[in-house]
Amino acid sequence: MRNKKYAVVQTSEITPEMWGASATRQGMARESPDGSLSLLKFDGPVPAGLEGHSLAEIKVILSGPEWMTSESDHGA
Amino acid sequence: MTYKSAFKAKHNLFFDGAADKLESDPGTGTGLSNLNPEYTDSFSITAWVYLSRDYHMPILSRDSGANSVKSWALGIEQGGPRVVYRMIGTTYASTLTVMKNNVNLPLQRWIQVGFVYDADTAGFTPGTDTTDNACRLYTSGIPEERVNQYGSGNNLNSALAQTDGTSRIKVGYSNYGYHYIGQWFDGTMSNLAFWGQALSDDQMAEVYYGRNGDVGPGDLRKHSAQSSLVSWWIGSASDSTSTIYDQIGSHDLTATSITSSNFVKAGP
Repeated sequence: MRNKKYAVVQTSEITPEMWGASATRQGMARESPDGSLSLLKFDGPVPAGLEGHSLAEIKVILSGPEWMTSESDHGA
Repeated sequence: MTYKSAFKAKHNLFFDGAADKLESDPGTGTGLSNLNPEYTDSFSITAWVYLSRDYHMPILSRDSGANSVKSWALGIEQGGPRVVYRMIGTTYASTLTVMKNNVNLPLQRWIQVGFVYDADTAGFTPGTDTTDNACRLYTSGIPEERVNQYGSGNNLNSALAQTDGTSRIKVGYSNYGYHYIGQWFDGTMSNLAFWGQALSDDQMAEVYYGRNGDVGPGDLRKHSAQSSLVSWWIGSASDSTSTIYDQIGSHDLTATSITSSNFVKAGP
């Protein structure tokens, strides 16, 4: 699906081919707080083997516990 | 006030609130040309924003960690939304500035927002007095009544500006602080600019009434204060999916996850 252009990938499993197909720049992807997951965005189809998500779906995923930090202010 | 000639391009950039961001790392050099002011340096920030939702959303921020202004940020605060500015100095208690305007902003409409830090404000001593005495907020070219807030734990949130050990200029996201989900801009921006002077009320209005007096962003190179422009982004169709060019200075922004569909035709 053309509109399912987002994918959540295990950071350690991202291949050069994924970076090449992605609109996300290598080393600058949004990562989960522990760094284990990365959010990739594709201009074209999501590569075979990856589960594509729409923007609405990915926002739900990003609001989940794996992507949230504590609500502390971290001081100033 | 004299309004300048028409601005032809309607150039805007959509941020998806999930993965889209811009950044540049000019290093830790201080001074207005590096967007890294000291307390004695006056400056202004202007932008047009179209907000998709009411949430904590950074617009433009800069970390330095090295000089008297450790970090600063202009953004949107949830609960209105409101435009909010935060500046952190070396002495937290006396120099932290957190302020927001006092009127809720509309969603899904183009809004011009502006911030001015005037180090030459009468009665203000940079580095000694609380910096909010020298700050002004604007929407639609008009000075806004503002609310000041202080201290850690308040809801204006560190996501907007926090010393994170980097020296990056960041647009549309922040990588440290309160609530990761709140650190990504969800909406559209246009004509984002950093000025190396405190814009007057008339000069701020000129940013708003840029098209021969009609509402809309003008060509800032024709603004009466153009000589003080340090950086101007998302104002030209020359931008690419990999680079958003600084039309005035040298702070080109590297784009992440920006595709051709991020460049929106409709604009202010």
